[in-house]
Amino acid sequence: MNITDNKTISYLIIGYGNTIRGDDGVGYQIAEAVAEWNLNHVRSLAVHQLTPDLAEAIAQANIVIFVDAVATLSEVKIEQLEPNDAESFTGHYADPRSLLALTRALYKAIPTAYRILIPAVDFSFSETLSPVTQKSVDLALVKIKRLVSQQSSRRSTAQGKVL
Amino acid sequence: MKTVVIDPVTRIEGHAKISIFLDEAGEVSDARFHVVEYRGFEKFCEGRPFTDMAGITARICGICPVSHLLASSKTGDKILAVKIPPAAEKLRRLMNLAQITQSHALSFFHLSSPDFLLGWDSDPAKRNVFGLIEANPDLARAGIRLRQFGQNIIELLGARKIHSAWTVPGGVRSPLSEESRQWICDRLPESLATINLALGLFKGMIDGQLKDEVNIFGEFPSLFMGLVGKDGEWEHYGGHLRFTDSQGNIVAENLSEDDYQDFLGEAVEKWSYLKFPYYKPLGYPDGIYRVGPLARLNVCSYIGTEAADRELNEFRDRSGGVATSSFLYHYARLIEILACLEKIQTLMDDPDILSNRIRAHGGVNQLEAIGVSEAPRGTLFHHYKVDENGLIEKVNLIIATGQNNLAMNKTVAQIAKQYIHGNGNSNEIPEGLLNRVEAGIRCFDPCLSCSTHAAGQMPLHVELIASDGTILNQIYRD
Repeated sequence: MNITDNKTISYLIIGYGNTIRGDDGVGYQIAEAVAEWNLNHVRSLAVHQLTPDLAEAIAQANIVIFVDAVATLSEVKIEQLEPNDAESFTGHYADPRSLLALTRALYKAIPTAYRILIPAVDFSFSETLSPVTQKSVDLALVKIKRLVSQQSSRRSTAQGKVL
Repeated sequence: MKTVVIDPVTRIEGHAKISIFLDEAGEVSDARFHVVEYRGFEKFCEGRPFTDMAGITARICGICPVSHLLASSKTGDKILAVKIPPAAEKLRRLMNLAQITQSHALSFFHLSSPDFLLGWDSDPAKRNVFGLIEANPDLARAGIRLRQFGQNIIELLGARKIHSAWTVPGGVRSPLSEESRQWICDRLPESLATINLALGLFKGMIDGQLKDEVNIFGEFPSLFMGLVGKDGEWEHYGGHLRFTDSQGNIVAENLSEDDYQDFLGEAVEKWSYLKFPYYKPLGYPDGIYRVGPLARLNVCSYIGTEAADRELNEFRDRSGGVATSSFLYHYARLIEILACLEKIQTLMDDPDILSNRIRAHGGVNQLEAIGVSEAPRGTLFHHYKVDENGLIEKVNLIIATGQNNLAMNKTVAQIAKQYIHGNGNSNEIPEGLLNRVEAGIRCFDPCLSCSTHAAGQMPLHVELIASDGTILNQIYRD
């Protein structure tokens, strides 16, 4: 674990999923791979699930990229995310939009957010990825590399101002 | 007879259903807390190496995996017949203290405080962590950081916040670094400030707007069980088991987990997958006992740290000696967080905490073993039988929440009798009444994922059913 209290970071990668449920662990694995790049402007967190304490790390980032497995896709997809207005999640886990909403509520921060969705087909008990998902990992890493290589970043406040 | 069903209970781990039985006059005659999940850990572990059990059982739950890691590792220690190095025990204790801290922080700040601060009858759409943020943003932030503190210690030790594979039979896999030790020391003052803030706030509330709840939410006599040290001090990892009663008398002590079958029985009811543990000498269901924070504070003679002992004395003064109200589990959790933080400080000051001597090795030297640990929610037992190759032949897990099963049922019935009455032809179920019944369950901070070793999502459905089976009203929750 990198101890980075109160340190602003350009890019935060959050890859999440269950590593013993086959393809569900791909987000976790991708985040671990990004962490090994050891880039100064990138912080990468591999987590089992999204939890409220991640809001602080999100608030410290200019851009946050979530990485997760999805069963219904045929290819890697990137989408931009906004905080949701539902303002609810169960006590200890959240989806990216509600986590962004929590970050906004707690820290008045709305970093630019993306989600990278990885095609997944096999969620059975296993610690290996299916060929379909394994093939998507390299492409996802290329996309993340491209994203984090962008020099300009924009960060908006809860009031919509651009800093 | 009418039946009011609350399904599932919100803001607890796992899912359950509550049935409240009304008589013809619309008064509550009984209540049941059903657990409708089943996973079968005890069965599918058969044939696995005992060394895998820590990792497998940790995956019962994402909130308290550390509890299973520790109980399983202690069982594995006994199978190996090794005494683990002192530093390994200190590191395991550190992880458990962090675990208790983060779990209790989650329970108080995320799951329960929205009720306390916003009121039982407030808008359910707001009665959650977002409502808490709106009402008291500083408290919300502080609570999230307190939980994060505990989670981060777990990650510093085990490289992961959840399902770490760090504790193993014989010890632990890796030592604590000086950098990590320093980080923990740096964050302790803030965590202590947060818990003192929360304690002050909660004590004010039980003196004021929550006074009635103390008397109504699960106020009844019972036995209490927990681990204590050799001088009766509060324990969370080692020691022996002690039972006390509602007058504070020691009913049984110096009990070893190895003999648990002599003093703990497990009953089964057709309407729930959760077993009903009871104190055997008193039989079922008279042998009702409670475990967890309330029980640990009742059974111990003292905690052993300055501020926490001060709070314990005040807690006992306020309770008239023994806290028998289940609502005071919330108060007990806060005191335990304080105790954990103080004990973490003590460990950080111990030079042995950085030792590299952290693992003992051995082979399969015992074919049956029982390990015990205090999980945030109460005492946890792992009982394994293995063959000569260390493969599991039989497993029995006694989970904290399961041991509170009888008490949870009693609490639900008590609250329901207080708040639900026949009201003529109206079939309305006010939200506030339902939430109070659910909140009674939340006092125990039950983890149903754990206690049925279960996982899975259940549809949300509340039914009010007339005595002739007609559905009078239905409520759906997400």
